[in-house]
Amino acid sequence: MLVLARKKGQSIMIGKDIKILVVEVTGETVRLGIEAPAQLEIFREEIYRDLQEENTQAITGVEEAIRLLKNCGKKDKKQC
Amino acid sequence: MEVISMKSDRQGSNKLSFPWGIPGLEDYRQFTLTLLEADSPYYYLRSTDRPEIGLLLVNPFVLFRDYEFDLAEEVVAQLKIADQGQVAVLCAVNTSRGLDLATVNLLAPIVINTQNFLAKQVILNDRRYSLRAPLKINRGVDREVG
Repeated sequence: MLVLARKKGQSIMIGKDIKILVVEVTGETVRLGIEAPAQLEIFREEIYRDLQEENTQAITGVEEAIRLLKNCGKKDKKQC
Repeated sequence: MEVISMKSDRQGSNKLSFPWGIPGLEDYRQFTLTLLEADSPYYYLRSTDRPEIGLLLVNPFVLFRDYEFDLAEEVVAQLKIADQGQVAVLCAVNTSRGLDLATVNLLAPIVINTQNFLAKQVILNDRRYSLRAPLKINRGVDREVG
């Protein structure tokens, strides 16, 4: 991994289209500004990993849930 | 954006294509979307190749009346959306801990172009929403709007 030291207000370029600017440094938090082409998706890594995990988990128990939800529609059922 | 109307086959199903994959389920790109039953806000999204891989989806606007977000331009372009009227939004429901502890993924809604059936799970940059918003299954509320 390439490691660079940057100060507040300094940037790095990735290729010629992507610019990452150090906006502010407060304690352990670094605020970054990112300029990149619109078709590039940018998100916090942990959110993406979280979403992968969430989707993988969400496929469990779907059929059972659907069975229960369908029963909800029947007026005499008391599951819901 | 609230009403989902799509031309469906006789079983009320639509074939959806997720060209960018669904995070965590990247191996599957083709899905079948079926409305659970008439007047229900719930849908069943199943992999065409592996029907045992499926997600329960819900129309979020029925359950979360204030839910709203701006669709990023890149998503509009990727899904070839020409008009807001052709957009449908559904959110995944996690029932792995049982229906009573079900949560809805409001942070990463599934956006569907109902004309060309391209779909994508989009991650919002919006701190108001969570990947796991508690879902209260309540027949009266759920079924008020179709």
